[in-house]
Amino acid sequence: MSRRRFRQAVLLVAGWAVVGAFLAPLAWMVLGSFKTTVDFLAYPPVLLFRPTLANYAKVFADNNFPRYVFNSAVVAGGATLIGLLLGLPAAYALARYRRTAVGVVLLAARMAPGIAFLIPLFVMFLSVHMVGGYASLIASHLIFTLPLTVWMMVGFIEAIPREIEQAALIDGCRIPGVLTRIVVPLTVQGIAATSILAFIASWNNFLFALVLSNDRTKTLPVAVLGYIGYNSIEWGTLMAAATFITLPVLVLALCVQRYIVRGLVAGAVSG
Amino acid sequence: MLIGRRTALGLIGAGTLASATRAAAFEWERYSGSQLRFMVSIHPWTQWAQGQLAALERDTGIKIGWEILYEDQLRQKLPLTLRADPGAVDGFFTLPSWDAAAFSRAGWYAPLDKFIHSDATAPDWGFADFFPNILKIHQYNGVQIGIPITIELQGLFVNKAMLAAKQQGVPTTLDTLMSSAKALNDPTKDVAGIVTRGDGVQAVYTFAPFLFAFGGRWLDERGKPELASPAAVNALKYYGELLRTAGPPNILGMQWKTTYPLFQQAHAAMFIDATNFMAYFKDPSQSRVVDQVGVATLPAGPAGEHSTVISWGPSIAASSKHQEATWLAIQWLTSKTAMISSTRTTHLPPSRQSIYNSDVYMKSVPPDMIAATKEEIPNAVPNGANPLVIPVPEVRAAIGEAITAVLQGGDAGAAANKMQKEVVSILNG
Amino acid sequence: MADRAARSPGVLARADLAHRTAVARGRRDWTPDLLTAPALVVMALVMGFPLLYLGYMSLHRWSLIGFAPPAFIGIGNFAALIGDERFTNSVIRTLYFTGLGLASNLPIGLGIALLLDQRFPTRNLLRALLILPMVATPAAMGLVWVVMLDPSLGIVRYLFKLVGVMAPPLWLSSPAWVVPTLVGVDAWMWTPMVALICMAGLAALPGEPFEAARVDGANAWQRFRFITFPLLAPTLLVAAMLRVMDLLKVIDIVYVMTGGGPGHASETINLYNYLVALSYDRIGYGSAVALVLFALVLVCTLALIRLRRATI
Repeated sequence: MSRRRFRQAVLLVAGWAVVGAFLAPLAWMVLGSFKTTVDFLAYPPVLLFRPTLANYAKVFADNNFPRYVFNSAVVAGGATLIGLLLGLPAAYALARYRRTAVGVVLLAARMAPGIAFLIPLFVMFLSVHMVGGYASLIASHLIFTLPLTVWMMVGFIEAIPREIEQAALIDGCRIPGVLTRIVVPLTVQGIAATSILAFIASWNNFLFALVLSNDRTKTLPVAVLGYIGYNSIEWGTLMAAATFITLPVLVLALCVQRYIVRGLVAGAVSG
Repeated sequence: MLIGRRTALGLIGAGTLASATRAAAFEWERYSGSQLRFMVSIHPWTQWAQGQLAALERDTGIKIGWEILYEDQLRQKLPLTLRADPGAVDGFFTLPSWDAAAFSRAGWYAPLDKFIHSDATAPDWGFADFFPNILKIHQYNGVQIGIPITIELQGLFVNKAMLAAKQQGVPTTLDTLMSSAKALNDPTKDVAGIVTRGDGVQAVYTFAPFLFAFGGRWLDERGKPELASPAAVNALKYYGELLRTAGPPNILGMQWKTTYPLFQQAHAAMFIDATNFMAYFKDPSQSRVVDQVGVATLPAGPAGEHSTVISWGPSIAASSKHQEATWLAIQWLTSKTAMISSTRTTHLPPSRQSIYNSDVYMKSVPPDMIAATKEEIPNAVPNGANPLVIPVPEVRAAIGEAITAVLQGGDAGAAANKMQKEVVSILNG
Repeated sequence: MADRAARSPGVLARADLAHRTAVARGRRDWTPDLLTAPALVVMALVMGFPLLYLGYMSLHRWSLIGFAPPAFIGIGNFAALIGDERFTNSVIRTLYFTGLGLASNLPIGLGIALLLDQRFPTRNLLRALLILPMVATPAAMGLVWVVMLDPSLGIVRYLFKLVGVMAPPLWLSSPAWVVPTLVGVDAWMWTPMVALICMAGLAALPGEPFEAARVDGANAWQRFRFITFPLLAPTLLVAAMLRVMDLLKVIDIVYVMTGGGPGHASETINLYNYLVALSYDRIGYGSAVALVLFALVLVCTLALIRLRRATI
């Protein structure tokens, strides 16, 4: 084998070993979702077992599970959409007009612990009887979807050649027009990536939902705790639910993986 | 499944034609059309009840929004809702050992006495059927604040096969418990002699019976903490030694959710916790000790044997605008018929004497469980799971710190003194 | 649009000049403010106002269940914080957590980036798969890890046994090991992010220095030490900044996996904050803790930003 081939082989093995190690817990979770509780708790751990679909059946038979999926979707969707509507113009201003005030505020938002907002928001929502409603959940999620959106979009907007916009401006286009006719079409992929990342962040959020949701609006991460019963834990069902919750996120993330880094780095670099 | 009310009455032998007629005369539909909201936590009974709501609506015309929350969430949401949103919640699930002091002080319980002894209650509902000292659990300062639904005692679970293999009898005293646990402890085979809660805050519950067995108590007659008494120090010392020498290596921080699987998977010879766990040890789909599990009365110390007895149950919110309708719903859910159904589903000891003594319960649990609990009930400490104070979480954390300290080999006397000081300071504001 | 962009530079220059002249003449161009206004208004509502309210509450003794009305105590809460041993321990613990996190995430992430920067078959697939731990729901994965790490029944113990370690640490049950274990779980989730950031940084590095070095006969290690690493410093600091912000605030996995235990051995500032405010019902005190945590994150992050500016 040539030196190069050998090197390639070593890298391949190393690469898969590393990534495999990272994926192993996820695989274990999926495997566990097909095990009965006895098999799941068995030690030494069993790799060969009689698989069962009972756990998934149980998850879906639970009347409330579709409701939780719906709740997660509504809250994440709402927070993402509103984040986009507010964040896109702001990102444009930050990118083109160097309105750094917004940037600083958003960076501060990124830095603040969620609990610093959670406590007062909870007290405020309580006094207007809004605790437990979708509105309060979505509003609280904006705390991280809006900064994330601006953060990422700034990078994508900066990548658009200035000449294109300026040409449009000369042609008599006003700013709203520039936004809708130039910026949006040229950053469609960036918008998609940003939306998906914001959606994921909102979908995965645990703390805000724990405090601000009620039984009707409970989101999935909180619902997962519900499988910890009064005297027992339904491990198999818990794994099935966990798999089900993480699955959409994993799929979405793979679609936009190219842009994830750009988004993560963009704001930090310009900040 | 819920069986017909008349058939049930016949079964329990409480039904004569006369009382059956009287029952029919009670208007179960008098509050038809009401919409109520209950806030409850995850519990086999609340999950059973959720499945009954359709039948309840059919019989009474009352529609209930039954909100089941994770227990931590309930403890946050409920007080806040009762305080900030009066009328939002009509009924709720309460655990008096935790809630009674705080909720009574805040005036959140609607006293039930006026409902029970009036025509708001169906004549055959059978208030007298409840175990009197279990009813007391849901009384505060003489006022009935809730209806207990189950009896939650603690027991000593043993793996009979493991005990037999090492020629150990079932321990009946604290001394034999300690020696048996040490004899049964076998780290090379991954078997712990005994396992119970090692997480400070949660362990308060399993530590309590030891405190009582040494003659200690949480509070003195004036309601002041008595946590540095010799009994408390001895109990701490014992608990620490027991688990350090015969418990699993990772006992520190162990919560119930990791202790019971150890016993269930035959990695521990003995287990102390609520008797509720029996159902999960007898479930072949998850347990490896279905045939080996046995349960016995808690071992006795110098002051005898004293399990704690606690009970969850529904209560009426004082700020509810539909108290009578809520009471009707609670009656329906705790009637003799309903309790037969719930006992069949949950296998938990019912709070009604007639049902407890009937085949429905007696035949659904192993005989050693019946015997053990029967012996424990007279000596059990009602609501003994923690001190009956208002700031329960903080006080439990302080007690938990002492338990954590002895589990790490710390001096029991020092831990007890620290615990006393801290609890006193918490209670003083 | 492309043909318009090809207009003469003169036209474009004039348009640009017009804008700049207008600005210079003091006639404010309101456009950018209108663009940012909606976002700023919403931020003021969901963040600004709550923070002010938080500050207000931190000056009171405040119980939500309300046996007594809120009482103004000035800086009483902050003074109490200094003497609160549980709080100061949580600060030290959180700093320890953060330090361990940085010490593990950065080198490992950089290592992975260097590996995946090489060209070999399926490399792009691997890069794509690497993001999965980052996006999996932390609450759910925390529970999965709890099971895997169980000292008696978990698969991690089994794996250690296979390699001959018969008595591995007790992980989440050991006061000494619980923080490193949590750092490990956190690293599992976020090292891919560090790796991805470093990969982007590596991709942006110019080729000439490496060529020159190769010509001069430098070996791989020397190239790394004298070229790659210094050039990558700003990128690493960006990764460090992002990680520090999250490490200081960690709560999700701690809540789900240990609840702060054993005892208080894994209680971070954020978790203590949650308990004090929402479990013990001392909202005023909890507000003070939240403000202190916020200040801590601000200070650390600004320090890193400064550091980064200095390396560019």
